[in-house]
Amino acid sequence: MHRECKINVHEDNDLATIEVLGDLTASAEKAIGTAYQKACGYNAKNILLKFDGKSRINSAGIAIVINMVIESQEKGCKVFIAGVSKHFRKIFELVGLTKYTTIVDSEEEVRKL
Amino acid sequence: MTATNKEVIELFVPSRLDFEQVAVDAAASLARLMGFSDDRVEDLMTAVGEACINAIEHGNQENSNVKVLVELIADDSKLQVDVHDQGKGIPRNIQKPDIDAKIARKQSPRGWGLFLIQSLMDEVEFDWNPETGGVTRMVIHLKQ
Repeated sequence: MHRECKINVHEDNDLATIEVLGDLTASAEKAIGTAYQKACGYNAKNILLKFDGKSRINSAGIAIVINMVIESQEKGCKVFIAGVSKHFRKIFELVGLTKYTTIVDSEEEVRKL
Repeated sequence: MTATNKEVIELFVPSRLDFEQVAVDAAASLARLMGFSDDRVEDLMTAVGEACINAIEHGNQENSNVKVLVELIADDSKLQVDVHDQGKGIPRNIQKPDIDAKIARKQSPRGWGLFLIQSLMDEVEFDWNPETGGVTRMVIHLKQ
């Protein structure tokens, strides 16, 4: 069905990165939630949600990102998004998530900001 | 493929989440055969997925005894996708999603499905009939 979502979390120099391999749909919610809590545990200033370039997102996935943005704002963290397809970016722009997240080309780009 | 005449494909999809992907993949395959661009195929995939999820979750209440009927209707100029369920149609008083309100916790973070369908398709119609149930009708045109 959807591509199974595999998630890795790591932290380096105030940037907690959640790597998402697969689609961001309702079935990924629990895994993403667990990964996000782990990322928050690093107390990093920035959170990067890094996709694999092929990931798709649906309405449930949008809700997952919104919840992440809300929690991050409350913690004073910024949310960055990387590795998204042209269509993924279009969906983010349509719903207005580009107002609350920053889409970047790479992890390195976040470090330079 | 050149669909010189109207061609109709019917799929009966179980009312279980994730099975919407079967309809998504079928719609994408047909759209590619018809010559739609990759961008339009992506739009279609998202819209069909959302319509099917609505039909499974809200229309058929995830009742495994009831199927979602997906009709793919192709002709020379357009692809129409009708997603039928046995629910009561789309409520008229549905709140328009607002990202600012959602971030401020004034709206549920969910509720983007209809917005995505309407934003990505060329024509959208929601209909309901007491005998046949609800239908989401989506059209994309080849030359737009």
